[in-house]
Amino acid sequence: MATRKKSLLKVIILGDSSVGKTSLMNQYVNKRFSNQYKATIGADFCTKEVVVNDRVVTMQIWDTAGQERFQSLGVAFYRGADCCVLVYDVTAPNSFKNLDSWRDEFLIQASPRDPEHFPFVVLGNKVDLDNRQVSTRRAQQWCQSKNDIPYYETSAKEGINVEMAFQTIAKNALEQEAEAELINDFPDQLRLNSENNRPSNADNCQC
Amino acid sequence: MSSWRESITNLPTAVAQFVNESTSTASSYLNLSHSSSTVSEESAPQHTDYKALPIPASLVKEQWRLIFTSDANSQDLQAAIAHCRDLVLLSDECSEERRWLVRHLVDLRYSLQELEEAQAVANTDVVVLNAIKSVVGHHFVPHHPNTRNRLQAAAKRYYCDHCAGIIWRVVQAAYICSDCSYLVHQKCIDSVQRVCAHVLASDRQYPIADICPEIGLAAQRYKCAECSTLLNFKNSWIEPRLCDYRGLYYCPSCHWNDSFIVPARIVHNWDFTPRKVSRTGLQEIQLFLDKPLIRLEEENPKLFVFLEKLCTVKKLRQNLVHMRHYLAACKDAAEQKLVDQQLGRRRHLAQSNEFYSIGDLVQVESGVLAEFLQGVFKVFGSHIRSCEMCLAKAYICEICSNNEVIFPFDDGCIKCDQCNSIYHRVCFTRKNMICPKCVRIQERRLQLQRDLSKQSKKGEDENAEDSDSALEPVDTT
Repeated sequence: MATRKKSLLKVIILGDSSVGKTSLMNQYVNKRFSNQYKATIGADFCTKEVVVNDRVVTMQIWDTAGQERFQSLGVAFYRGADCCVLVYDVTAPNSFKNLDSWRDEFLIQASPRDPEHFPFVVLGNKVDLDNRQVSTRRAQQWCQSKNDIPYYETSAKEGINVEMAFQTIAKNALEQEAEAELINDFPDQLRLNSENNRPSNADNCQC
Repeated sequence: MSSWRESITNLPTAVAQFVNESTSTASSYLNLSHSSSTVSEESAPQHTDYKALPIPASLVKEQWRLIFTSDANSQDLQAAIAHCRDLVLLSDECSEERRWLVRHLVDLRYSLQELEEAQAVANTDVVVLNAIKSVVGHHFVPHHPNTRNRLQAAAKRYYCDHCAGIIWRVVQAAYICSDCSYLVHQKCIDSVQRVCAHVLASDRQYPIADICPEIGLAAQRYKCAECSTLLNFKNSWIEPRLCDYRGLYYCPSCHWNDSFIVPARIVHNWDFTPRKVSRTGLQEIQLFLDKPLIRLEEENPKLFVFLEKLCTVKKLRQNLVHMRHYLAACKDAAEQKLVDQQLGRRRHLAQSNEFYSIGDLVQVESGVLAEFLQGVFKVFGSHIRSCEMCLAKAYICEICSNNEVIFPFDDGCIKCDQCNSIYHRVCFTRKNMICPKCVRIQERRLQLQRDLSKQSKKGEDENAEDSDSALEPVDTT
């Protein structure tokens, strides 16, 4: 592999509130788990260096707010994402049903070049708990129907499957990036701090 | 020699200090000698003179345990405090009894504190000047005007709020209420009748909303609303003076013809002309001045139609509220204490755009507030547009899907009230003001309902199968 310009992978974690998005990220990045629940406000990210396909890349993992009342801010950071992780709680059927809408909203807001083949990964979290409600088969069926999304069952508490899931996430994100580079050598990222982003008036709207 | 001369020049102040101290020491010794009796004497008239709050009828039978005779000591007081506290817990919420009891409890605790302080003085023989005296809700502390500039201090005259006479600072000790700034002679302190404006204000919770609610002199029985002096037009010493805030008539010693803005006139008529108000009215308005209590748009929506200034301020405040959401979620801004540093004690300005204080309204009229908010808007805006985390939480107009980021406080943008999405105003108008996200949410809801009805039709077969399969993975993991 030749040297590439971009070695930053942007990963977004989505899902209903209290399914364990922050815990998964913490388990993966810091190897820590806390039983206390603290709702995420807005969004935040962590970075971690990983080796994928013999390459060192920096993974930028964005943790988001699942609670609707903390979604008062925008989601411009979806743009330029390389992979999206959809998390649900295996003990909460509703969090599984909502995966559809999380996926759709993500595709609309991020508007990737090839929405059909954008890499998603689905994680069924909290498998350490006894009162399981969503079966593996049901989850796998859903993933197959959405263009064969990789599916993992994890536990952020016990650290089950977390490392493996994120390894797949990094691999898929990197592939997505490679594909993007095939199409266009110079991927146009969202430049958040350029001046032309400032809408002085509505005429800036190019549509 | 020179030191001798210095001491001579310093003599007048030394004398003044001595006289001052001796009067206050004398007074505190006076207190001391009757320490137990003064307290109880004080607390006794408190209840009879508390015109605003007589003892509720239901509590009369408890009176003997709550209100003391002249032989009250600290044990009695402690017992009364305990009993009063128990009664508070037993009384109904928001009832007259509870209000009276809570206030009485506060008074009792102050009395006990006074008594203990007096005893401490007796034990140590040291005069504690900061002892607080509580009379009809006032908390009096010794008054020491800022004497850094002696000329100014000499030029400034202080008047007693009770007898309206001058307070001769050199020879007379004075007390000031730490809550409402009621200033009083040492000699007048025990005959104070006006209930502390702070107590009234906290009872009322909201400045009087009616413009000068006058009931007429006859309804007042031609008596001063505060000290019950008979009023008479023939004699200028006891002429009735109308308080524009309270709408009541007062005697000249309770109404000094002070002019001040009146909240009700501002809210209803946007009228900032100072009106004549009584001393108690003045003290009350001043206490309300900085409190964000007025929901102006609810009280008087038409003001926003007629006053462009008010609309500008409202828009600015709305924008600041949006910005505050960003700053609250941003670590950098929290570290810099951006909100605190810009707004300080006027946080309410960026917390919602509903509540105004009287001070805010005065500043709206003078244009100071709009300028101030504009400055804050600029500082907040420059942070948000230069902070990577804040920019990441911007919006993208999904109608045109342009890469340009937009914010709720941008001029050309519009927010969907239902789902909080932000669009370009032009794009949104092109879509006939129908929010695409709301449409999707609606569709999903319908889909869910359809699925549910299907499931219920299919019956129990699937349910059984579902539960079977639900058990499987538990076995495997």
